[in-house]
Amino acid sequence: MTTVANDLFALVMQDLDDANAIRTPDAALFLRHATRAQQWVSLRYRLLRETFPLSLYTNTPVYALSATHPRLVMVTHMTLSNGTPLWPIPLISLRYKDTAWFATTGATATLFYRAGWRYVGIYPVPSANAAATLTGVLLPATLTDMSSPLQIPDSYAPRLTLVTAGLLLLSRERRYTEGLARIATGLGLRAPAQQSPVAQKEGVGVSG
Amino acid sequence: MSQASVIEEAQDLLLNLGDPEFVSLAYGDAVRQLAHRCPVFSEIQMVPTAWAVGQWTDATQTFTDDTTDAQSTATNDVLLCSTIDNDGHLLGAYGMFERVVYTISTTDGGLGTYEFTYWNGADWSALSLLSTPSFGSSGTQTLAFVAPEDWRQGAPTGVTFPVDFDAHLFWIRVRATTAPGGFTSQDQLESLSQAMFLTVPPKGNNQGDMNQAAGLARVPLAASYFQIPSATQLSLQTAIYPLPDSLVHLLTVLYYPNELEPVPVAEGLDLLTPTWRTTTGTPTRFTQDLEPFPRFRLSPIPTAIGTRGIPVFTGTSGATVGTNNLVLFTLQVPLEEDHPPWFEGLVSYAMAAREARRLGETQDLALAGALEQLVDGLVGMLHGLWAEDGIELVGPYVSPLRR
Repeated sequence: MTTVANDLFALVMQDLDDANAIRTPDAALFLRHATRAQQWVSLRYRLLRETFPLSLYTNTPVYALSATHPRLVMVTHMTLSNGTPLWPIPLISLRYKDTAWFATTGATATLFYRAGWRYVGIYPVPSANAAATLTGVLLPATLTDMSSPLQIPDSYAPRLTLVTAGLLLLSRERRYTEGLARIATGLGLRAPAQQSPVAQKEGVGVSG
Repeated sequence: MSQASVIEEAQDLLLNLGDPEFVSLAYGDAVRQLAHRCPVFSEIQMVPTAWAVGQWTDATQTFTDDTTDAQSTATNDVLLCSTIDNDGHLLGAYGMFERVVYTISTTDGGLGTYEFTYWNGADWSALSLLSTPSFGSSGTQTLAFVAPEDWRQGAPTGVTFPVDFDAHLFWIRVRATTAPGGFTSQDQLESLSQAMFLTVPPKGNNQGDMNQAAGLARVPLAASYFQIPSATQLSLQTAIYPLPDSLVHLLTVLYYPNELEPVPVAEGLDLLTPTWRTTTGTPTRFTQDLEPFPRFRLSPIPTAIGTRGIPVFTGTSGATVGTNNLVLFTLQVPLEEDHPPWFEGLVSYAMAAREARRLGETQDLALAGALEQLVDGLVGMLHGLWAEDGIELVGPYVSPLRR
């Protein structure tokens, strides 16, 4: 069964134990917080990944991804079209391998590096056009209406519920400690002020 | 999303009690602060090392490009001023230079008086010289100065440049306040030049021919009086390059094709190249230690002539390839159109926190504290995400020897 935003709304009201306690004047406001919550939960547990093709061009060492893949958060893997995996290397470590790493060309790339989240680079620089496959962590899309399907697995619905309820408590009800505790629990972060009562109740551990 | 939707989200968090004007004002600060806390907004840019020189005509405030002559070895083809007072030459580069080496082929006979100024963004301001070139002596002459802190890159106001000339450079102006001829106008020059020439018969003619115009020749009374200093070649030693105001961190610099080694001054350049302030050659290192605002310095100082063009690393076939380019990898504060959705979420939380903390009717310190804790937690979470998969959150370079 596909869980949609409306299902999440029911779960959140259930979690708060009083549907009338939250001043949620309209669906748009709920969707805004639910969208954020889904983004944070998805990023925290890297729930969405995307694999997409990338054309490599002669003498072109770096490729901008932000324009073509705006929801991509970071590249995690890269493979040439023949199945050869490229190994990630920190940008600032390339100099120890080859000071001319931005210019050295080769028939087969062996390494890839990331310059922030926007660019991915290849070493050695392709000496001929080629194709590669990228895999990266993706941000869920915005929930546009109450029938929008959630993009993260159903098994993460409890955590998503906690984070959404936490954001609503914090922003709408001004129940800050309670809201932050729910968010921390949902994201598996250390509770900021005190051990989350929700975590205590559910026995969910918190990590640093 | 857009700035408007981020502001709307922040207002939502404030139950629409925030002052719209102040919430909007918080946008820029929130973006800048979060860009420093989430240093993943990278830019790769090419900076040409090209430079330009040309004649300065003061009366018309005109620059006449003579770069090709200045970079060639042809003798005597770069005029450094004219016989009109306040004419001279302009020198510009994409970086800040502290030394200009002239190869003087024709001297001014020691008759000129010169003024050395730089463009500070509003006016020409006097340079503090360390070494003043003598255009009265032939051979190598050096102009040396310390790059002024208020030296600004850009086309000087009111100056006419050739069409299609990229004047967005760091400029200095060398003017002969007293020209070698000492004339203040073209008319005066022409009338004086008539007076200063003696009409003599060609050799072999007798005295009687003196009145025969056809046989007469005009020779200057004192050749040096009209001597315009000129050079065979100039060399601009451009060592310092600016970085964008939106800079968060300079990741690395390449003097294409080679990456430069980042070094501090005290435990780096001073030990490795004690004469780094004047040593020239192909750059192998860069340092940011000395600079009061975002810029970096190359060492050794390049003397190779850079050219403009399409960088080879773009893979653009058939394009004119620029040479001796610098390639900068930087982390910057992102432009609004480059904000990813997760960043906009953080910005809206931070803006709401700032407005909630502000003194006034909307002050809600508890809300501000809660939102700040939320942002702290999310930023920490993102750092974990990036670090776990090997994306480096690069801080300032630390030499392996200093770790």
